[in-house]
Amino acid sequence: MSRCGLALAVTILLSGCVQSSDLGVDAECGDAGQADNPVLTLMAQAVPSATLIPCVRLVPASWRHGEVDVRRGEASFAFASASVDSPDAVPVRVVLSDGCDVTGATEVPTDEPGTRRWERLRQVAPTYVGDRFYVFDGGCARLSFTLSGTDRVQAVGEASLAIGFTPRGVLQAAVRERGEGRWELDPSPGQR
Amino acid sequence: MLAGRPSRPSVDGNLEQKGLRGTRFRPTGGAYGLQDVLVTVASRPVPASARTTPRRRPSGEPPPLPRNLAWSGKTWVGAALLLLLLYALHLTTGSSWGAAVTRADQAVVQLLADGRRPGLTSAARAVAWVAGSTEVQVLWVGALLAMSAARRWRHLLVAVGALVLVRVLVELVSLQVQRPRPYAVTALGPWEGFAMPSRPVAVLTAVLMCALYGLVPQGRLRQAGKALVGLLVGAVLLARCYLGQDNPSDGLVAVVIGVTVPLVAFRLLAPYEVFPVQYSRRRTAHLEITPARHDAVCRALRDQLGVIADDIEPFALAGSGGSTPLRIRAGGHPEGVLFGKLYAANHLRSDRWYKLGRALLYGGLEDEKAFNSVRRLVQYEDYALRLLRDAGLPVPAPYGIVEITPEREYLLVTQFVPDAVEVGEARIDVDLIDQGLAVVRRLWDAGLAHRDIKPANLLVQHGRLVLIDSAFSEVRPSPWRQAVDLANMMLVLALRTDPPLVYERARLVFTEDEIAEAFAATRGLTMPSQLRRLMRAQGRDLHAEFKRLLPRPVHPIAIQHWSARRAGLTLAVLAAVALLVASAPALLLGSSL
Repeated sequence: MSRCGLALAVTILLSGCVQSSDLGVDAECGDAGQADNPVLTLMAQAVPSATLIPCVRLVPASWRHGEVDVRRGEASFAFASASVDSPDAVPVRVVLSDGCDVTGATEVPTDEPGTRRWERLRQVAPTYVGDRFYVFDGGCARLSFTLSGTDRVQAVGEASLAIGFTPRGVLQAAVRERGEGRWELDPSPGQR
Repeated sequence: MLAGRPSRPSVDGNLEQKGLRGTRFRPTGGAYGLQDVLVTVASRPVPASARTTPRRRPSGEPPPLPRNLAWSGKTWVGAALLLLLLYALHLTTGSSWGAAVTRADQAVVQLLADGRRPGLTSAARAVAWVAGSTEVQVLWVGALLAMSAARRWRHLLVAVGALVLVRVLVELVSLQVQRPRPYAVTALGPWEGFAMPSRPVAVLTAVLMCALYGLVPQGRLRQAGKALVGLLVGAVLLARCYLGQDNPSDGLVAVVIGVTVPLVAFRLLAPYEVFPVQYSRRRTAHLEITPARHDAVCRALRDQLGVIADDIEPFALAGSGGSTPLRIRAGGHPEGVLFGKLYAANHLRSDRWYKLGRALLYGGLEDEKAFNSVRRLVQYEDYALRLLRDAGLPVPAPYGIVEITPEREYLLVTQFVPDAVEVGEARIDVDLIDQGLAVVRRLWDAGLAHRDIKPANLLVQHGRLVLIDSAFSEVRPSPWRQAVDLANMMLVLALRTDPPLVYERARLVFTEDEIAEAFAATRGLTMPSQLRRLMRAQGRDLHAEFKRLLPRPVHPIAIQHWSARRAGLTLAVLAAVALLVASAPALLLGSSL
């Protein structure tokens, strides 16, 4: 192939590579009380009112880290399937926003301190499709499930272990520490 | 073998009367007497007053016309390297300059945030709107469409490649630095992903730079455009800092990426000297003789050939599509005039496309391979010209090759043929017909083919035929290719005479079978386009007229030859076109941004 043709092919291939809005990093929670993951800081900036920031505590065996997308007003991360049979499947997507519409959902006892939890089941078989909402001061984390396979209901339970929350205060403290006391994550009250 | 060969044309022997200096050739094979009507073009050495001793360029000295990033390009590359170095230092030594930059950023952003006013905020939003995704897409598609309309395909490809590279670099740097948005201020505009480098600013800058270098001619207009781009990008950056979307350093890094990549890409891959942006009706094959190029050619001629050139000017551009023909004046008198053909990367590309097209059209018959560098292309033409001269053909004397820019631009220098007209404009008599036929006979005997016999390549100088342009000549060509040369020569000669006369004269030099083979081999695209155009203009089917003169009907020689190479090339081209069509919307609209 001529150099010109090769350049064209590479160009087209590369142009396809940059389509995703994926940040390319993972929203891991880190050690308790530590917040050195810049993704979480960015997520906190995306939803300034949120007092809790969802993050990945651990990744279940059949899943892997998926796409992370953070923009003003909303932040999301996902798990992807680790199965070679369904590499494009997204079993769980977590979206942080300043509020959720829980119409049609049922409130259940929460497993995360400082939150209220709702469940909305849309379908159980052959694929489990449903939403879980964790509502807290200034924000909401919606977990959207799309699970297939025989152990799908078990996977819903595993999601509770996989998802954690980092308090905004921890992130604020981390920023302050990095700036030697001169930086603040959020604007001072009253600032426009 | 022909029986009863007639006597030599009457004009043979009038050379001295015409005052021509040259060498008369004897028949090489003894079979065809008309070969000795050929007279080589007398070599005229450059006058002593226009000669000097060639000078070897010492190692390290720049070539006559060096590849030029210009000071601005070097400055931007330097800025990019400096940023890279600072970041590497930060990573390896853990220096605190990163924190210092953030502190400075914070101070600026905080200052701007403290000064927020409703009117200012509206104005900042309006300015920042320019860098919005949809708005930049409109700009980008507009720029690409404008480049397409101007058929500036190279610029278009470079622009697409540069923008993709900018986008990839932005993602890589963003992933590496992982910088949050400005602290302690409320963002008043949309943002996405990490802050450094600012993606909207980088893409806007790159799109504007591509538009500038792909659409705006070099000179005052481009300089003004650069100033405008600078102002616009600066205003957008300031507005985004005011709105709390970016830190100042996020924007500055984005500007460095957005400027450096397109700038370097255009200056290296579509340099103005070779691919100028202009809107005159000049043929794209012709290089502009700018003052810089003029001086470079003069310097190269003096240093490399020892020729002191007084002036260089484009010459007979209309007849040349594959190079830039030049008339070189040296020494101030007629003997000092030389002819030059300037070749650059765009001619190499044309040669490649031409040969690819022929390989697709004809298959294995041509047995052509594209040149892989301008240097090779020029070397081959010089070599072919020397072969033709050594074979006794009436061609201009070769003077050699001059390097203007290594691997990018070369000048082939030959003797100038003064007072000559194209054969299509000259009076064609029996003598000239015999000379034309003898040229082909000599080519055949020497195992050569010219492969581009057309009126523009046959000059008549004081009644003598001169064959020019050896670019397509082939050594040991296929018999088919040699036969095509004969038919094309006979068609050219018949343009201003009659096929019966040309045919009769041809029978003195070629057998009827050879002539029949020539017309069996030649049709349609195997004839140069100029020749076909002239025949169409005359409303004559000379090819059919010649075929009627043949003693028996000829069956066309199949010129469609299929080979694995041709099949592969055809499939590859079809696949490339399909891929391009399929990816065009994404390439133009979405993915690049």
